[in-house]
Amino acid sequence: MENLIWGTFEQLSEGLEKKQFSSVELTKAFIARTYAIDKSLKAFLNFDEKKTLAEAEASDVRRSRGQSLGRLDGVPVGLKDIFAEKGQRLTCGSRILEHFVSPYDATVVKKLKDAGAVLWGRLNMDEFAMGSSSENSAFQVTSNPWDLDRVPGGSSSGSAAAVAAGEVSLSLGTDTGGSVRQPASMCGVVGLKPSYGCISRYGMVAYASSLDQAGPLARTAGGVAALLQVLSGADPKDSTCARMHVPDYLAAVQSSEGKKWILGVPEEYFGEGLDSEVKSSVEKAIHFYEAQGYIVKPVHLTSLEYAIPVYYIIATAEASSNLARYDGIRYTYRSPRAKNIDEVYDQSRSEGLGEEVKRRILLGTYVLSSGYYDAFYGKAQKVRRLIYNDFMRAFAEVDVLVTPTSPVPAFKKGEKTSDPLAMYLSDLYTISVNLAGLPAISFPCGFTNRGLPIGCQLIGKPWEETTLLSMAYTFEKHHPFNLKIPNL
Amino acid sequence: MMHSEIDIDHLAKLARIELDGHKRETFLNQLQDIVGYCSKVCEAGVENLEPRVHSFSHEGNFWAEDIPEYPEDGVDFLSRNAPEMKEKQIVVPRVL
Amino acid sequence: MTQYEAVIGLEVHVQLKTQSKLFTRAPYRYGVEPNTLVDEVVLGLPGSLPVLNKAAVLKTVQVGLVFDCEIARQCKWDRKNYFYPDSPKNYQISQFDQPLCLGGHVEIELEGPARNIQGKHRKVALNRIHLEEDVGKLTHLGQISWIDYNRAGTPLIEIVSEPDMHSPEEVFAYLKSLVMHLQYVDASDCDMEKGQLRCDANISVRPQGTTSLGTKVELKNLNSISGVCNGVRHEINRQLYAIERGQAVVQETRRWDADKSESFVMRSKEDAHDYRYFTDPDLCPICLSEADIQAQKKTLPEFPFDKQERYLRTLQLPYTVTSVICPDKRLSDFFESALGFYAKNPLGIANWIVNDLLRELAAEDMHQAWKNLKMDPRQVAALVELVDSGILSKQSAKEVFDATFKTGEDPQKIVKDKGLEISVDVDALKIMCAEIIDAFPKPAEEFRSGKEKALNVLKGQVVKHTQGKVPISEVDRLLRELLSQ
Repeated sequence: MENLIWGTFEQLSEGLEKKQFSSVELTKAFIARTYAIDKSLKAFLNFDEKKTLAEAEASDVRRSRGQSLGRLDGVPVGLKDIFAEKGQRLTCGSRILEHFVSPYDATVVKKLKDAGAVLWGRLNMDEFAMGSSSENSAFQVTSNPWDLDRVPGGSSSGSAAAVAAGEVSLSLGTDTGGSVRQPASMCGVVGLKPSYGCISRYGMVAYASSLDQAGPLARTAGGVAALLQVLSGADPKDSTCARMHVPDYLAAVQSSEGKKWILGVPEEYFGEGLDSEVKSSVEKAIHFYEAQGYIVKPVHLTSLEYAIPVYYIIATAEASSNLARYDGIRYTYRSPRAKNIDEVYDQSRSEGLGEEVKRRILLGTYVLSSGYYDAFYGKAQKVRRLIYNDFMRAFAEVDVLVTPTSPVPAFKKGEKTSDPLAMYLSDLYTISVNLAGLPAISFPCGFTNRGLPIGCQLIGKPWEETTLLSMAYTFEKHHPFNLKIPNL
Repeated sequence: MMHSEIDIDHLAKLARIELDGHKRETFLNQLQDIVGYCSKVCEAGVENLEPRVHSFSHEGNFWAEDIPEYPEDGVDFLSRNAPEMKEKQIVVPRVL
Repeated sequence: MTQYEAVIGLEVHVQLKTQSKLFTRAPYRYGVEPNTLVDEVVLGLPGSLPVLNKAAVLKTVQVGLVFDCEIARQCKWDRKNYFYPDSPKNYQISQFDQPLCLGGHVEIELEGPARNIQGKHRKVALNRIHLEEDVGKLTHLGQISWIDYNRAGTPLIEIVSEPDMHSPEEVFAYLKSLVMHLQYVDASDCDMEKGQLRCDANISVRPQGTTSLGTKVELKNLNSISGVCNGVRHEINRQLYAIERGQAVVQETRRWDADKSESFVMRSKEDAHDYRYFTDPDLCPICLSEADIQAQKKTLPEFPFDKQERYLRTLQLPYTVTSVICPDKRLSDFFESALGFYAKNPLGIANWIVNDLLRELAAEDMHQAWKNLKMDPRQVAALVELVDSGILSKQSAKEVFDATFKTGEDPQKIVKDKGLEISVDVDALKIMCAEIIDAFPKPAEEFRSGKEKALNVLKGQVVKHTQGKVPISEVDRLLRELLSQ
């Protein structure tokens, strides 16, 4: 049973269907793996083994009665600790929500339950999804499965690390500026950030509402497609969720001999600051597609230089308002020192929130405050339009853009914690995608000499998730970097 | 860069975050760096561009019919996580 | 000496009467057990998102149309950021720079020189009406404050007037008119005791004849209509007193204490909030087409002042009667429905409604009384018709009214069951008339010599002797017959 954990989603789903093993057996294998390695990996914040096994048992009962709910039925899925699951703690990696138990299910959680998925564990993250390394989690720092001294990326750190380390088959993260793609890239798994409005945000704790999107992670494009199939689509509880027709994502990854797309390579994404090993790996991937008959064209996305400033203005402005509700009054941590109402606010927030969160709240407060709004927030909204227009101009010529996901492979723990701005710069290639609301995928395209995974990013036109999945699938069929197993 | 004056105490008051002396200095320096970096947006030529606030593009309204749903759990909904409650109400040190 | 005039603008918050809250389906009712009408959206739990209530938007559009506002074809939602324990998210979803309704005016009627004379009408200009969510309720007791979030999230419209009123009397008339119109379109019950209508006033004074505005003071906590007028009057005097003593009026927010008839400083200009408004990224803009707006226009009833004009001109009702019926839509609906059954005597019907029906309804809680009302308009019409056609005397009619009001039985049936019809023994009545003529020779003589009015004295005597149980038309006929012999 030990090797069950390294099965791809397709193999596991088929094995369950053919009753080669049960969901309980499969789930127990992942649980055993978690017990064995998570003390050093620290991908899980908490889990409810009894509940999870009960879900697995229920799945097996369904299957034995011929009432399987589909391909996801019985497959263990891990959740970033940002999705509300009724009766489970929902910490967002923050002290201020340490003891909060959600009284309701997020729409994605409800959809996963309805599809028969077995929900295994609550995965570590940077506090309120603010960070790129898990070092902003109030509870623990997750390690990179390929090198325990290094970070797994973030903010969906646990979601990427757990999948890469065989603790769970699939996982769900969130991506506001790269938080699914960047850890996927650093941990050597596939991670998708869908178009804005593709997956309901109801019950997903907000960081920056206009940028946040849930995104699936898996070791294969097929696993990502299977999750997306279940999760995407309209939700009457989320006004920003698109009333879309859900395409057949699974079909997209089963027919790799699809159309030969026109690929754009934006020069700006291969400039200063890009690690040479990352660069050559991504270039190899581009050559692969070219060899497959795709047309490759150089393009320009000159607005890249504004991406990080615009992101940090918009995201922090929204965050300063979204996070105001964590105040020590109704359901969060209340400082025992507080003697009057002002102290309840000031001290509960000061003690309950971490440094990076406070820094971003202060920045967001600043850019919205009287006298600075026009110069910062107002202006950033216009530059956001500029970035969007820039992408649309490129997409008039090409179908898909190819770039590195992260300028560098996984960095050492503590390496960037003292310099917030340096940490922000590691999201350079992923951030514009969120500002423009586009879909993008990161998939493993190689390893460094040290054995660290490298991620290649494909950026698509709005609602072209199928194209991205199909291209990632084509690549992994020829170059199965995603099937390499870390030595843990 | 413009707007380098940051009134950190005013911001902390608006955001309701207590900052002690040491942290106040660190935050102020970091914020000055970040704000300086973010001032780059001021250089962008965007005079004729409409702001882009959302990434969605709905046709028509997104709204619900006025049909009430009585919450299942009522007070329990709140009491489970409340830091302090008395007689079904949240209590705080006196306001005003 | 310089004469000063007051300049007053009002910000009135009105709770909309919808079934569910503005951004979630939890309902709101007043006086319910604390924190029972809450869900994850009301409490702002992590991950919850707002979804707009369509009815709240349409009701606001109706209110805007009543007050002749321009209805926005497109508008958006903004977050108003401030920390306060009654605000679950520490921001309020409101409309900052794109209100649903712009401009418009409220027609007001000032008090007339006497109760039975119509007062002057004028229009008070509105600045805007926008929609927002209400906050929870705080109660302070000893060293702690208690928070009930039941009210949080209830749809609230804010009706902002221009600084276009100049006296407490105008303020009173303005609020009366607002309430009347809002109740007319069933937008709100406007019960100030239940917090369904709340009012803040901006007050300044300036030398008469000047046009620029003086330094304004915002007055809060005006909890009743009389409280508003008293508070405004007090504030005007306070400012005039300051100016008389050569002091400047300070821009500030003051809190009215109705018990002490005194106001106290709440915060100065320097403490003004920085609300950091920005577009709420969780909500889509509202889009309204011309057809949407026209559809709402069609739902509107005849407005009360138009109705009053019609009653005065067409139905020839006295002003006092119209001033009771018209402001209350239920009364005027009842009246018009009765008129539909018997159109010959509008005043007769109106009198029953204004005097008797209203008295009975007011004997208990009005809302409850209307709900429990057993009498219908057709029955009032029937009652008037019975009297007019000589079947029922006016005195007996009172008895019939009371019985119908209590039991809901038709007047016709009550008259029959109780034997109240005027059954006339013409011979006996003729003898009595002859006796009366003999007993009162003076008016009889006067009538014969052409003084028509003298007949009334004789009629009165007949009615007196028969306890009113005779048809007056028959008495009239017999007396004339006898006197002409």
